[in-house]
Amino acid sequence: MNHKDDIVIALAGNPNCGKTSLYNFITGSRQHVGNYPGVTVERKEGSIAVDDAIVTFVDLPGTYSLSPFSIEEYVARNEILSDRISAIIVVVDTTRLERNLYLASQIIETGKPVIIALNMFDEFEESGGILDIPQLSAILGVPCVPTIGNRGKGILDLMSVSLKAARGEVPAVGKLPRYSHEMEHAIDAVGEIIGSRSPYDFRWTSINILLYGASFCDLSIKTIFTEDDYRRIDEIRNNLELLEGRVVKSIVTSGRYGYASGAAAECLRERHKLLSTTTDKIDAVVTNRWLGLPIFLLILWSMFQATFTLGEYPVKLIGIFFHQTGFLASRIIPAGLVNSLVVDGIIAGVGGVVMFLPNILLLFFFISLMEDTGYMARAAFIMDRVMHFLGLHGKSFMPMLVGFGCTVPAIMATRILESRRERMITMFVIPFMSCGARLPVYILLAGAFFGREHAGTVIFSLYLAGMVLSFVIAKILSFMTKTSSPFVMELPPYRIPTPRSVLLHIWERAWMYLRKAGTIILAASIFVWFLVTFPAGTKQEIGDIHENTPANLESTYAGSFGKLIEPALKPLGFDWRIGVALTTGFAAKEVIVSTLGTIYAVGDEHTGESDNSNLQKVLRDDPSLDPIKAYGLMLFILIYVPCIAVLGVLKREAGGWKWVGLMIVYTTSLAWIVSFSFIKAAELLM
Amino acid sequence: MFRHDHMAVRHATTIDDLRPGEKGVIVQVMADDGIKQRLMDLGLIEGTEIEMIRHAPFGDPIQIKALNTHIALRRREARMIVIDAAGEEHSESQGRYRHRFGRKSQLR
Repeated sequence: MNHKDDIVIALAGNPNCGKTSLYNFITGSRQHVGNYPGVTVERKEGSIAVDDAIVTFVDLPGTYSLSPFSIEEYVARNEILSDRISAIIVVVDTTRLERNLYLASQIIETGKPVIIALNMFDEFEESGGILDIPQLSAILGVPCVPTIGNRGKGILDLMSVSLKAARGEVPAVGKLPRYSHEMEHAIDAVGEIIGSRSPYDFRWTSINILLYGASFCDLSIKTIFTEDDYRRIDEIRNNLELLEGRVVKSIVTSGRYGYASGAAAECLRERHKLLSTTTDKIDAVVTNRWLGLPIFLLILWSMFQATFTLGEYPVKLIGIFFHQTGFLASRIIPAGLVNSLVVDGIIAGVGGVVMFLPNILLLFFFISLMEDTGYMARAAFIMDRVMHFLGLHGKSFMPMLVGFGCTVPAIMATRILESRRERMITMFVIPFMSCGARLPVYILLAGAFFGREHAGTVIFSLYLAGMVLSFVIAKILSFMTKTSSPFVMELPPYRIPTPRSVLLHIWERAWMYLRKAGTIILAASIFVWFLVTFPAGTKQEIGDIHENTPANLESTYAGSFGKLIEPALKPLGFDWRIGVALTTGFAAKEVIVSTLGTIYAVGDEHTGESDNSNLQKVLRDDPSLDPIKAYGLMLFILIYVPCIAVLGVLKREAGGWKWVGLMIVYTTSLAWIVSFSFIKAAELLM
Repeated sequence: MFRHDHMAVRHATTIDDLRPGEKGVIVQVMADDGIKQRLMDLGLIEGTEIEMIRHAPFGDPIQIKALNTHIALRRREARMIVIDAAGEEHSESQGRYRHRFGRKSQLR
């Protein structure tokens, strides 16, 4: 098994140290994105040729420490300790050496080969810093390589040194932090108890059992030690804490910080100027007590405005493209089942969804801009008081904001919340942050019933309604579950995002969206087409399928199903066709548009022309719908069960099908109640 | 180092008592396990110098600066961090700030 190719190197580092851009430069597009088993901490891996070997690089989640208090830290620690990792690159923000070497000290302590990437070295030097790199290497006992992650400088050097370190060709097992006399005694005493039973580094195991007791041993090694062992170790800890007058955590943390700041002090020939004053100046305005909130709201408003106005033109172009393709296909393919499938099923269905790609891309462009500049953390800072009132956390706002793009990454983003309670509440209100997939449905319906000039306002009111609803639900849920977790977070320095990282981010989203269109939505479109075509169609000559009248449609599978659930929707005034559309919307919200397109196109006299303006006309002409019902329908679509992809991710994140079941029942009943109340109230008033 | 006993701690100055622009040195972090670890991992340990920067729009949380990094924390957490307030006379210019660091590394 021990091929030259089997070298795996992990990248660790603090959040905001430029690790991701460094990683992107190393692996380029050759990365595989997945999840760590059991938890949805994103796991990135990519293999690349370095010198004479193929090396796999693993991007660990950004952490400040390796304590077992958060999922990220837990995942990073397990990965670092796993046998397959032969070396760890610790990415360090050179402008904040002490803080970053603190994490390095913990990774060095695992006894594995470590390479330090002195990242952002340009920023450090430009602000007047001078660092004695050979001396830093000598003090820490590991190779140190200066890098500039966002411009790819020093990467080749780093990779080649890492390979040598992994193979043991250069010394890379670092010098360990030493603690107080009493602490060292305690470490030795614990070492005597555990003997050679730990599969991990001896000293590292002793220190961690002292720090976290049995809770550290959530790894596979918990059962290696007996109750008696833990009892004796607890005794050692108690004696030590009594002797030192402080807890072991304090002893170890100060020891590690002492190690980090000692190394930094010895090697910094010239301190760079403290914290770029630009960040201070921007913060003086952006997080200002009086200006902060108005600026935040202005940014949010401009973001949505730009998403829709800039997106309008390309959306139209794509619409025309699909319209023409449909027209062309309907002429080339001989009339019949195949023609109907391609034109009414596939082109109308997939096209209706792909059309909105520009809006989605713009939204993710702005979100990644907010993330990469460092403003996202400020948004959390500004919103924390409000969020706290709702029983949430300032950080909850970030996943909720991402929820405007797509609920799936938003639910995954809740992992930045440390407390499970706040995480669960956030997950359960995120679906009300109207996602990008619902947008095409609003555009269709609002355009049809409120005209071009009012459509924007109507859509904005839906977003607002969703936000208000999420706040109300959060408040109710937080009453039911008391206690809140602390808010402590770093506000990273402002940085100008590199086009590369923003483009990569958008590309990932674009690809995800198109892949969804090509798989789930394609399948759903074909399925819906099948449901609205059979069995009624089979009774006739194949060529006559186009002449499916609404009466015929009622006898199809879709019609029967729609009829089945019609009683539930009757009080809202929705007929079976809406029922079918809502049901298929469960696959993905955009599918509602394509289903309506397919149903109405099939039911219509002349097929093949299923672009939006036509569909809007047909919907407007439908006597069973009016503006009030259309708005009620949009409210229903806003609130009711999130798509299947969301439920999948919810099952993993929340941990169990019962949460999925709860989500389905609660969102759908809420949608019914809200929609019903709105329609009845509006009809009463009008 | 000078250590507070718990009686004294009750009346001690905490980060929450600082006004924007004021500085202090952390004496003790009195928090529960998880949060204490988080605060310490961010560099808020005994001996760290911190500066109060500002309050958020609704007065809470607050923004502080420590080890060349901006950190946001709620006032509830800020009250858990006992400091030795350096007072206004210590809110020094950049030049003196750098000098202090220079002296520190010479001492080593």
